[in-house]
Amino acid sequence: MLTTDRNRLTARIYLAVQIALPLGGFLKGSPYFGWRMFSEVRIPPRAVVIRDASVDTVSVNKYVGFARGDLSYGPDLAVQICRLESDAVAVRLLQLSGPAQVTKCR
Amino acid sequence: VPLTRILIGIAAFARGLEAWRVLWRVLDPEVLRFPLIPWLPRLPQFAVPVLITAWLVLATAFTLGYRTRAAGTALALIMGYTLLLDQQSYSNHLYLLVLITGIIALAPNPAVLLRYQLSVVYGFSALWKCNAYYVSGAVIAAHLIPTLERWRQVEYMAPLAVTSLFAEVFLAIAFWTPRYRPLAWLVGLGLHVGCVFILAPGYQLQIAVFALEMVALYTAFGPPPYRVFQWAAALRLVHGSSHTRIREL
Repeated sequence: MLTTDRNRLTARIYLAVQIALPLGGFLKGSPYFGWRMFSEVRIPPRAVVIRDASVDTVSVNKYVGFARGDLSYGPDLAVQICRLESDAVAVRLLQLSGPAQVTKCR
Repeated sequence: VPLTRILIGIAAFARGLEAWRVLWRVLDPEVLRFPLIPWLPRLPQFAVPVLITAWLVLATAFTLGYRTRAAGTALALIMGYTLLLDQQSYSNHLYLLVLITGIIALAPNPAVLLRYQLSVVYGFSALWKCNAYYVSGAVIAAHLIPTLERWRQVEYMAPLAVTSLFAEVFLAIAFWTPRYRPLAWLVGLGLHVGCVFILAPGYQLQIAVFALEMVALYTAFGPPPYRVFQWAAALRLVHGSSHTRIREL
């Protein structure tokens, strides 16, 4: 009897957590722990590397572990590209959401 | 639950192979880090083969039912580490895999929790899709495989999107009713097999793993009803005969 009651309580707590966690994520718009699957277009950002004599559009795969469209890379990505591309003058990041961000390397 | 465990074990094994590729890149010291939990220690890149070998061995033991509790717990911990290590190694189907493996290994009455899990996943997945952008078909169109390029038009994509949304709502509810369970099996199999074949080139393995996880959750409501296979056979017969008829015409 006690075991049945405990099992029932465990099940209820589990269900409560499994509803609260995704609901919180849904209200905050978080992509984590909320079962947000194929509900949006996820295109990883592209970077435009501006050099003295050339401008190249490059995939960010070389600079990040696993390029994702639902991840906000922020200025860190541009800084990383500047670090690895020693002749870059500036980097422009193109993301599906939000305006293009330009970061000067030197 | 033994059938559920076997399906989850196979899904975990397949996901382990995929995790090798992802972790090798994410743990590369030259690439940018996006930790999900900042205090979680990062393994050196050379530890990836050891971690993945342990993952695969534990997944095999879990599938075979060998020391299920210990193997499942350790497997859930390794997968959980991968999940929480970095935002780039997080994925919803890995999260689901961690939850299901943990439930099977540790919960005294796993079937009830797995049933809840099915409704939660489909329910929230449908909730996220309740927006004009998804319903317009733009999301499916963007993820469609290149061979289906000529179908990438709003008159096909929008009904497909709406149908998939209703299918998920139906699946979240229907499994709880014995009367609709056979139909739910058929709708669920159609939805997931369809996703594997038409969506996201490059992500098919991950979608197939997710499909296997969801089918495993279906089995928490009991074994597949025999009627599903009768219906599937009937559908194939009807489909086949209509093709013959079209050819005749």
